Amino acid sequence: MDYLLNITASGLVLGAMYGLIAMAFSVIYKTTGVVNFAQGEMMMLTAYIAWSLGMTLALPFWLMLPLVCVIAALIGGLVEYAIIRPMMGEPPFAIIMATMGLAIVIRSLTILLWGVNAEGFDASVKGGLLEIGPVVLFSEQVFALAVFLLVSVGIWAFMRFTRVGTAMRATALDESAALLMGINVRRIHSLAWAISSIIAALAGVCFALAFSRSPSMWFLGLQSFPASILGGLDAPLGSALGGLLVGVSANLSEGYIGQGLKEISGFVIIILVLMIRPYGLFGRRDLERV
Amino acid sequence: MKRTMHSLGIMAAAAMVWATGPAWASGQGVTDTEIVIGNVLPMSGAAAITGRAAHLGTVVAAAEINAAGGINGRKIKVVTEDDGYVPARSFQSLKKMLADGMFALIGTSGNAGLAAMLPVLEEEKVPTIVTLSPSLAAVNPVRPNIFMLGASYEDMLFAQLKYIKENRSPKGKLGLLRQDDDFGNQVELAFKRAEAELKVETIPPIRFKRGQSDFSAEVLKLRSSGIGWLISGGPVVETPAMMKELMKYQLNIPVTSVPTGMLAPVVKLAAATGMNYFSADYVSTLDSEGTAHFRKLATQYLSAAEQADMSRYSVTAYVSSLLMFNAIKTCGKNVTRDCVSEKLASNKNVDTTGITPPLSFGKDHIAAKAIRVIEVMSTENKLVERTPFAEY
Repeated sequence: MDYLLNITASGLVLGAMYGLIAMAFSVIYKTTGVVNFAQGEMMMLTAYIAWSLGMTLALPFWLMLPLVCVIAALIGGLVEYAIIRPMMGEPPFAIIMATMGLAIVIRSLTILLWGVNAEGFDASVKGGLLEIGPVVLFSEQVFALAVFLLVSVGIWAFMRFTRVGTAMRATALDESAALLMGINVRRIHSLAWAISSIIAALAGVCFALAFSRSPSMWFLGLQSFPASILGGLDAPLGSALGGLLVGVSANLSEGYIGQGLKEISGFVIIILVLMIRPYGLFGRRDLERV
Repeated sequence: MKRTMHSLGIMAAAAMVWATGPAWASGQGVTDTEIVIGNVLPMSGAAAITGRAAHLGTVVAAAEINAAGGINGRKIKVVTEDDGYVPARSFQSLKKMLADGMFALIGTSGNAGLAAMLPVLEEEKVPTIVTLSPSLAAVNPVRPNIFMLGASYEDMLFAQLKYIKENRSPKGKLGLLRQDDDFGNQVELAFKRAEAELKVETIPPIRFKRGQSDFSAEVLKLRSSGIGWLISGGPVVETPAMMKELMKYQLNIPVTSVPTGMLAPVVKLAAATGMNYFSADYVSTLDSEGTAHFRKLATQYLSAAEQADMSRYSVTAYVSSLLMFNAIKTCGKNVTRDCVSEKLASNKNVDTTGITPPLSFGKDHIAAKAIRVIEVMSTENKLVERTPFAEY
């Protein structure tokens, strides 16, 4: 039994990181209709910035984390303002290509600034072993789960109960109508990018704490995208749940079947789900896919 | 008028012969004053840590021999092309260097890059010492101009397993976590050999995809199967990631790794787990007595920043350079590719300044098959040589 519980718990931790990035994909798509293929790279860049603040400048974790969120928001807003906004109205393919180009630029820039070596990320939340019954987790893994829960609840509450969140939902439903109602759609788009960037930054910090910060971190973005499709690209909470499903199914399939199924189990689930619900588990039926 | 045109034609042809004549000579990479030695290495990208270090090894060797007057009056010039660890770029880099004039090759990038370059190297008869990543495919079948420095991953891992079995008496079964590619196949050969020759109990190998960071499910599976010692079949940071999971379940068991496990960033990451582990090498470690001469040269010819980038890959590249220079030297003034390849094959017991026992390329075109088992004391950032050099 402890085998099953431990495998599931580790899968949840991995899934929480997938889920956070999947949520970041979803927040942008839901509000602006853009799929940001540089999401993994933005996560990596902010994780590197966090590492520099925490390790090089030796800022305490409680100060570093909010500072990274602010920086991430600025980066997200800047990308929207400088790259995405001028391209509004262009074919979706062109915007996708722009985000792919941005991804390559960020990857190269990261290596240029920080080098190619992987480095550990020490922080006050790291290093302890927590035993919850038969389940053993590192403190940084528990931290990742806590961040996932807080962000999920926070995003839900923000969308549901705040005026800005309501404006974001209105913009997602009908941009023209939102404009006519006096909503500053441009500002809403910027905000979506900023929020998405903050979520990605938190995912990056969790990943770097649990493993290391390395130039291959961007790959996590690629692994998380299917989770967003599974949960519904226009459903942030659905995407978060998709992440958990992918993480747990990957671990269970490795633990009980093996034979390389870890990598493909998530995709098998996605294919099965999309055959029944082409718009994802929690996506809207009229979703237009690109 | 016709006569004038005819004369101009002859002059133009003569000019072309004049122009292309020296170009042909330099196309072989040898002039009266210079010999060009090439490297195709990953100087950027994820594997740059190895490529940059290897480049420095050849730079040190060239500086040393040039300071001593060169080889039979000719200076050595090192040219390094960055392939970014992308096989298509390895091929392009090689073609470019050959067009620019390169005599011999030492830096041969990764296995896939080498495979892309092999047909051209063979066709152009370029004397080549495969150095960065030993690949049996390079010397099997034996080619007249292709040589390899270093034992196989199979031998290096088997040496560690033999040492562990004889000296650490592991309690439990031998496990293998291996990458799902050609590198992993080579690692698995050691596992199978240990199974057959050391008669140890094993757990079926577990494969993982390149780039995987999380090994929680794999380690839990090994734990439930009674793991007592583990072969890490990950090329770089996978080993500390596996060890972190082992530590989580208090499985302080012997772990073996390929030589990349001794690179400073990997040791630093492993230190966080508090676990020591094993590796093996066919050259002396960078901080040992065996590399004292090399370190002295490095301080003389490299900047402080460059010295910080050095690793075992600098040492292996330096050794390959010594072997290549020795072959060129024994050809005398008439340096041709055929002669150098022949001398590489026939020269015996070349001195490597104590880095390895004296080296010769055997009939299989492989040198430095003697291996030393090393224990990586990660928390102390120290490499301790546990066995003398021996063939396995």
